[in-house]
Amino acid sequence: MSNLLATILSSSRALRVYDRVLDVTQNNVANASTPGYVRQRLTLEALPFNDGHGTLGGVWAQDLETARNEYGETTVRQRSTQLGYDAQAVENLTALESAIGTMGDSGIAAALSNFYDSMSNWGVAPNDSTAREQVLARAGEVSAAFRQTAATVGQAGSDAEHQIGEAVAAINSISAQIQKLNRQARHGGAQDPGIDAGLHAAVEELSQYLDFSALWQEDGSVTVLAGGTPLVVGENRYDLAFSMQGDVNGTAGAAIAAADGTDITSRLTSGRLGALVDFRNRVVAGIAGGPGQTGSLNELALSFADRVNAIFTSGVVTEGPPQVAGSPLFYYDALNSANAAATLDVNGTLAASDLAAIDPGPPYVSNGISLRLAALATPTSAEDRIGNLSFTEFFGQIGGGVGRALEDAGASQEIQQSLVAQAKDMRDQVSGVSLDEEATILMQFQRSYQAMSRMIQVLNDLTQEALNILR
Amino acid sequence: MRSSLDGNSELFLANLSRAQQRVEQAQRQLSSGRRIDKASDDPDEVAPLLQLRAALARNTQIKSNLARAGTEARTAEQAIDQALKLMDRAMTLASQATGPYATSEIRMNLATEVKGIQEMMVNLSRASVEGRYVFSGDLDQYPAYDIDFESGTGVAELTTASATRRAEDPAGGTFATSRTARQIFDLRNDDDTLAESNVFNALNTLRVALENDDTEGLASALRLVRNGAEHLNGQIAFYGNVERRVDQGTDWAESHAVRLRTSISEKEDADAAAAAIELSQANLQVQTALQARAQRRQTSLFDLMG
Repeated sequence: MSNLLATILSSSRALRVYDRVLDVTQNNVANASTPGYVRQRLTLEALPFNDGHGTLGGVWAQDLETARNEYGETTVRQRSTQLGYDAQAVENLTALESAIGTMGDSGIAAALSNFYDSMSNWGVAPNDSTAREQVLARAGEVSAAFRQTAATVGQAGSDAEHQIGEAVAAINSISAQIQKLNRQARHGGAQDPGIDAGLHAAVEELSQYLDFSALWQEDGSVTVLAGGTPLVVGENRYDLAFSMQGDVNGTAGAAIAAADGTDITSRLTSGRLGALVDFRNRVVAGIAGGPGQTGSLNELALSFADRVNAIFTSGVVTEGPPQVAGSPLFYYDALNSANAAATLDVNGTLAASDLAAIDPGPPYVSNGISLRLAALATPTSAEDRIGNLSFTEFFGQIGGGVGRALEDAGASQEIQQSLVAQAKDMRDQVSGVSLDEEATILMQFQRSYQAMSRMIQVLNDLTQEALNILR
Repeated sequence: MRSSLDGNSELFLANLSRAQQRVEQAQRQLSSGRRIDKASDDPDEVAPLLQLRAALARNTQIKSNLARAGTEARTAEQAIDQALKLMDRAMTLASQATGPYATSEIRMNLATEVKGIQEMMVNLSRASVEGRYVFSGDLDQYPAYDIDFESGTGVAELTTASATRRAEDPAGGTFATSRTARQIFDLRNDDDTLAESNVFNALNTLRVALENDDTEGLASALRLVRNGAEHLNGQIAFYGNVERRVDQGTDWAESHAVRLRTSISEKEDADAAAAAIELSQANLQVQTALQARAQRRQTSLFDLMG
C-alpha cells in the first residue's frame, strides 16, 4: 500500500516534469521569431530505482540548457559590423555623388565649358560689348556652380554630422537597454532565456554601429568594450559623446569621445558610426575642406580662379598710352583656402569694358588674352593645368573618386549582405528553433503525459481496491 | 533596428535586391541610351569623358568662329576686288587724259569722276560685317578713313590701329585674318613716307593732276595707279590664303568632331542589345526567385497534428 502511494507520488512528479517540458516547448515555439532567442531544452534525469530498498525511481528535470553558440553569435556580429559600414557608406556616397553632379548637363563641368566658349567667342570680336557681357555672365555661372556644389557637398557633410549624432544616441540607447537587462540578469535572471535573448539581440543591434568586444559574465550580464573603453560594465553605463572640433581655418571635424573624455575617433573604423566618421572627416573634408586640408573642390576653385586672374592681369585693356592693365576676374576668401569654392564670385567692380583682351606680348595680340583663356579647355602648358590634368579633368577626378568609392562600397555591401545572411543561417541551424522539432517533442511528451495520467488513474483505482480490502 | 528575419529570409531578400538593381540599371540604360549616367557607373571613364565633351564643345566653337572669320575674309576680298575695278577705271581715265584728244575741259570732267572714285575707295576701306569694320585692325568699331580732299592723299586717317587679331586653328595654333586699311589702301614706307603703291595717294595725285591740267603729273599719276592696282592684287592673295586656311580649319574641325563624337559614344552610350538581354534575364531572375519563394513549404508538423 505504501508502495502504491509512493508510486502515485512519483508519477505525479513525472507529470510535473512533463509540464515543464511542455512549458519549455511552448516558450520555444512562441519565441521562434524573437530576435536573439535560441532554442532551450530541459534535460531530464532518471532518478535512482531500487524497489527492494524503497527508491522508486522516476524522472527529474535539471536546469534549462541553451543551444546558444557564442562563436556563431560573434561571427554574425562581425559580419553585421562590416555590413553596417558598407551600407552607411553606400547611403552617404550616393548622396554625395548626386551633390557633386559630375555627369549632369549643369554643374561645374558644363559651366567651365560655357566659360571657355564665351572666351573663344569674345576672341573673334574683342571690342563687341555683347561678347564681353557674355564673358561676365559665364564667369558668374562658373562661380555660382562652384558655390552651389560647395553648398550641396557641405549639406552632405552636415547630414552626416546629424546622422553621427543619431548613431551615437542610438548606441547610448542600446547601451541603456543592455544596462537594464544586465541589472535584471544579476538579480535572479541569469538563467532567464528571455533576458538572455534580449541581451544578445541588443548586442547584435549594437554591432551594426561599431566594432566592440562582448564579454559574457557568469551572472548572465555582458560587458561591452568599444575603442578600448567600456560602454557597459555590469549595471554601469558609459555613454559616448559627439562634437565637432574646429581648427585654425575654422573648419571642423567630427570627434567621438568616451565617457571619460578620451577621444576615440581614430579607433572607430567599422560599423555605421565608423563609416559616418570616415565620410565626414575624410571623404567630405577631402573635397570641401577640413582640419588641416584644403579640399579638392577648393583646390580646383582657387587654381582655376588664380590662373584666370593671372592671365587677365597679364593683359591690358587699352594699348594706350598709357596702357591700362587688366584686373582680376574672380575673387574668393583668400584667408581661408577651405572656403574658396563657397566664396568664389566675379569681381563686382569689373565692368564689361574693363576686361583685358590684349596680350601685350611680345608679340602684341589684340585678342591674345581671350585666346589664352579659351585654350584652358584643352591646355597644353603646365601652367594651365593642375598637375597633368585640365580643370575639367580635375573636376572629373573628384566625381570619379566618389563614384569609385561608391562602386567599391556597393560591391562590398553585396558581399557582406550574403555573408551576414549565411552567418545567420548557420547560427539558426545550430541554435534556432525548429518548429518541426518542437512539434515532435510536443507529440512525444503529449503521449508520455497521457500515459502517465492513465498510470495515475490505474494506481488510484488499485489504491481504492486496497482500501476496500481493509473495510 | 532589430531584424526578426531568419538567415534564410535575409539571404533571399539580399539576392532579390541585387536582381532588382540589375533590372533598374538595365531599364535606365535603355531609357537614357547612356551607359554612364552617373560617376559610379564607370568611375575611371568620368574624367576622360568630361574632357572629350569639353574638347568637342571647343571644337564646335572654333568652327563657328572660323565661319565668322571666313565671312569677314570674303567681305574684305570682295571689297578689294571692287577696289581693283575702281583702279582699272582710274587707269582708263588717266589714259584718256593723256591722249591726243584730251582738252582741259575733258580733264576737268575726268577729275570729277576720279573724285567719285576716291569717295568709293574710302567707302570700300570702311567695309563692315555685323557692325565691325574689316579693315580697321584692332579698333574695328571705328572706320579707318574718311574723305578729305584738302589733305595730301585725299583722305583723313581716323585710326592707326594695327591688325594683330588672330583666329584659332582647330588643329592648334592661330593665324592672322586681316590687314589694315593703311596696309591695303594707304601703304607707307618704313619711314612713314608714302609708298609708290599707295592707292589713296595714287588717286589723289591723278585728281590733282587732272584738275591742274598737268600732263607731266598725269604720267606720274598713271604710274602710281598701276602700282596701286598691283598692290591690291597682292592683298587679294592674302585674303585668298585666309579663306583657304579657314576652309582647311573647318574641314579639320568637322573630321575632329566625328572623331570626338565617336570616342564619346564608345565611352558613354549604352549597348542597347546587351541592356535588353540583361533586362530580360534580370526580370526572369526576379520572377523565378519570387515564385520559388512563394512555393516554399508553408506548413510545419504543427499543421498536421490532430
